[in-house]
Amino acid sequence: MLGLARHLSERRLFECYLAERGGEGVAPPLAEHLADCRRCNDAYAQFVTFMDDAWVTADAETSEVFTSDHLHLQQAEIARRLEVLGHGGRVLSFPFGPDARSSPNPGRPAGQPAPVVSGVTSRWVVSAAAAGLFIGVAAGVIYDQRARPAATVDHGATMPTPVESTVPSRSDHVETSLPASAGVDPGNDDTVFMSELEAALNRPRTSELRALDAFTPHTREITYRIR
Amino acid sequence: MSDHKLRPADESQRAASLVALAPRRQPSGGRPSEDTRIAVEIRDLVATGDMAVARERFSEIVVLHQRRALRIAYQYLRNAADADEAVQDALLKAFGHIGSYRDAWPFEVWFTRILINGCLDRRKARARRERRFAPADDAGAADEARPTFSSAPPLDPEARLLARERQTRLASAIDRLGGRQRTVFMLCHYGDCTPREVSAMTGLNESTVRVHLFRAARKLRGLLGGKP
Repeated sequence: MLGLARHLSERRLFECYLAERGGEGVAPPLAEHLADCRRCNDAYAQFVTFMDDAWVTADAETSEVFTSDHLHLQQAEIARRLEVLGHGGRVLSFPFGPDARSSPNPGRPAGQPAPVVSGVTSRWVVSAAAAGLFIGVAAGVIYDQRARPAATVDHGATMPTPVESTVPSRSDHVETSLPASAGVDPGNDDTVFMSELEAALNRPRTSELRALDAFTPHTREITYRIR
Repeated sequence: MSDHKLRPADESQRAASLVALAPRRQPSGGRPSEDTRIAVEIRDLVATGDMAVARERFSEIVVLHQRRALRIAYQYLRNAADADEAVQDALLKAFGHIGSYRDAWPFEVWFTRILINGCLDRRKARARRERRFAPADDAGAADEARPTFSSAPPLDPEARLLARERQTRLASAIDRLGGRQRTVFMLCHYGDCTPREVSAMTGLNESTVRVHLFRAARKLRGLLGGKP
C-alpha cells in the first residue's frame, strides 16, 4: 500500500484490465495495490471474470454456428469469388452508336474493318433526300395545277363530244366520268360512254393493238369450241 | 431467472477454467504482424500484375482472419447467413483495394474497418426492411440459421440449453447498448483490438474510445446482474 491509500475505482480497474489484455501490463503502483488490497483484488477478479466470460460465450456461440466445415466451405467460396473478381462482364456496344466503329462487332469477320460513314457524308445524304422529296412534291403540285384549269374550263363551257377530242388526257377521263354519277340523264350518259369507247378504239396505239388481239384466241371462242 | 450473471464470479471456478479466457496480446516489439507482412507482399504482387500468386497469398490472410471476422460479424448482425456474406464481402473488398493499403496501421485494423462498415450497412438495410415489412421473430434469425451451418454433435441438453440462454441474454444486452458503445465494445472485446486501434478504425479520440468502452462494460454488467 505504498502508492495508493484508497481503493481502486471501477474505472481504474477497467484500465487495469485493458492494459493487461493489450499486453502492456498493469502499471506498477496499481499492480502493487491489487496484490496488497484484498477488496480491490476481488473486485478486479470479478470484473475480469465478467469480461472474459462475455468473450468466451460469444466465441463459443460463433464456434457452434460456424463449424470447421463451414470455415473450409467459406474459404473455397472466397477463392472462387477471387478468381472471377478481375473479370468484368462483357459490354455489348450499340451497333449504330459513335463507338461502333472502334468496338468489335460479333457479326463481322475477324480482320474486316467496320464500314466508315462519316457524319458529314450522312448529313449530305439526308439533305439530298429531303431536297429531292421537296422538289418532287412541288413539281407534282405545279403540274396538277396547270392541268386542272384546262379540264375544268372545257367541261364547264359545253359538254364536249368525245369524238372531237381525239386524244383525251387521263384528267379528261376523270372529269367526264364525274358528272355522270352526279345525275345527268341516263340516255345522254350512254351516248357519252359509247362515244368514249369509240374514241378509245380509234386511238393510234389501240388500232395497233387490235391486230395483235386478232391473233389471240378469246375465251368465248374457246368455250364455244369445247361445247 | 433471477441470476442474470453470465457465470458466478467465483475465484475457484475461474481457476478451474483458465482455458476459457479472452486472448491476451503479446508484445510485438515493434515488428509488423504476420498478416501485415503478407498484405504488403500481396500489394506488391498486385502492382506487378502477378494476380495468381497474390490470390494464393491472400488465402493465408483469409485463414488468419476468418474466425475472428466471423465472430465480430455474427455478434454484430446476429444472423449466420448475413455474417457469412459480410465476411466474404469484406475479404473480397480488402483484396480488391489492396493497392490502397498503407502499412502505417496493421492489416487487421484496415480489414476490421472494412468489415465493420459492411456490418453497419447491413444492419441499416435490415432496419429499413423491417420498417417496411413485418419484423423477424423475436427469437432471432440466428437461432433459425444455426442448423444450417452447425453439424457439431449435440452436447448435454441441459448444458446446451444453459449456454443458449447465456448467449441470448448477452446478445440482447449488447443490443441494448448505444450505437457507438456497441461498436467500440465489439471491436475492443470481440475483435481483440486495442483502444488505439479502435480509435484509428472509427476516427474517435482514443480517450473517447476508452470512455465508451468503460460505459459499455458497466452497462452490460448492470443489465446482466453484476455491479452497475
